Amino acid sequence: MNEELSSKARALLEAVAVGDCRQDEAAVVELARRDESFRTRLVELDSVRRLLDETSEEARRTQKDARSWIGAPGEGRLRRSVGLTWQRRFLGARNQRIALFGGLLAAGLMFLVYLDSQGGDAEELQPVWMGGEQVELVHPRGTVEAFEPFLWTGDLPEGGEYRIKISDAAESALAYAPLLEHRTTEQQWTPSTNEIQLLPDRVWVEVCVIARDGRELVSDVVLASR
Amino acid sequence: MGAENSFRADMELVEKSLGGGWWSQNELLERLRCVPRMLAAKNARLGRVLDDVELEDLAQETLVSVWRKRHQYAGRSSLETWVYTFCYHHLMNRVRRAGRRPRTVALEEAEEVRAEEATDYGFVYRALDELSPSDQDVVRLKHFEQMTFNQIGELLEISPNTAKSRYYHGIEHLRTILMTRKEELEP
Repeated sequence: MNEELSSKARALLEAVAVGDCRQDEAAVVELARRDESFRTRLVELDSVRRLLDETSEEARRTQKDARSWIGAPGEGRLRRSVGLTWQRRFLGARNQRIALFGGLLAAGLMFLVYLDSQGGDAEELQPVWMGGEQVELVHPRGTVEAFEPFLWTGDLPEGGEYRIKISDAAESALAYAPLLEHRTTEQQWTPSTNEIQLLPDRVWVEVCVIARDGRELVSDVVLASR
Repeated sequence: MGAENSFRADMELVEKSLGGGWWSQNELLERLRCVPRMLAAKNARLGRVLDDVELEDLAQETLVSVWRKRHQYAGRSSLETWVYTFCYHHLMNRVRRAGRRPRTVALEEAEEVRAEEATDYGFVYRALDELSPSDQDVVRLKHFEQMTFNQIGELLEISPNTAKSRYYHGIEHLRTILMTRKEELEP
């Protein structure tokens, strides 16, 4: 425990940890011999540093190996995954004009709503979410018999909800116009039979936690095939 | 190019891509070819637990995740080191979920596969995430980028002594986190 260590012991531990002092120096050896807490802490800190060295070494080795994996599985589909296709490049200018017009229209409507809301009660303070930060799609993932039911786990902040979006796997996972979209506070959703039948056999499924103020907190995006 | 300049260039590339320019996004995507390559390399080290079809799907899922979170890249490491954490988590989660064990491999690969299989470093990454951002930066730069405290000080615009102090604070905190987990696992 910290309180069991003298200031001299703490200073020596820090000096060893940052490499200013070697473990076999007389002052360290002597204190380790006399003080069991110091000795234990020295060993534990050394284990942490070795663990960090192993972890980083493993990362560097994989990154080095990766350079020779030209044409790895999935490399040819990166552009499509994020919607960065040549078609988007050439359609971009027209879409930007449409987006600008839509944005101006939305801003105008929001301004009208804002004017309408003036004079009412003071706006309620938004709570800060201190909950978990995970959401994970449980089904479907990978190849499945049927897409439904869509199941996930996660924590919802107060006033928040889950948003599930399904897009064609032949398109980007970040598509602005998904094939299906649904919001719920439950951890499952089964679309209608008709909706399910209209889906392609390979889809992107995204489940996202949305805060009360509309912010996207965490998400999980997977590919599923049936 | 020094690490500091290299990280700054990576940061500028990511920022430009966030601006929405097609060419800068394309340039970033070229760099992110490392995603499928890292996944394939790590999968091979694990004894090819995933087949090519599974790897292809995983590469796309991981890329989407990186792409959506690229605004979180703070230029405190190379882009590849930052991306590697995503690849590692996605691959290990997939392997765990599928309940797979590494397959039979050639004799010369066996020793390496056994060593890789024995350690899942996910708990180290999770413990690192629990550190304060300032301590985490120093610990990551020290171990993952192998920088000296002088170099870390220059990059973060702090003195080398402050870098040392944050490093010690960081690994001391890591020790506490890891010891607590160990006690939880061994009641």
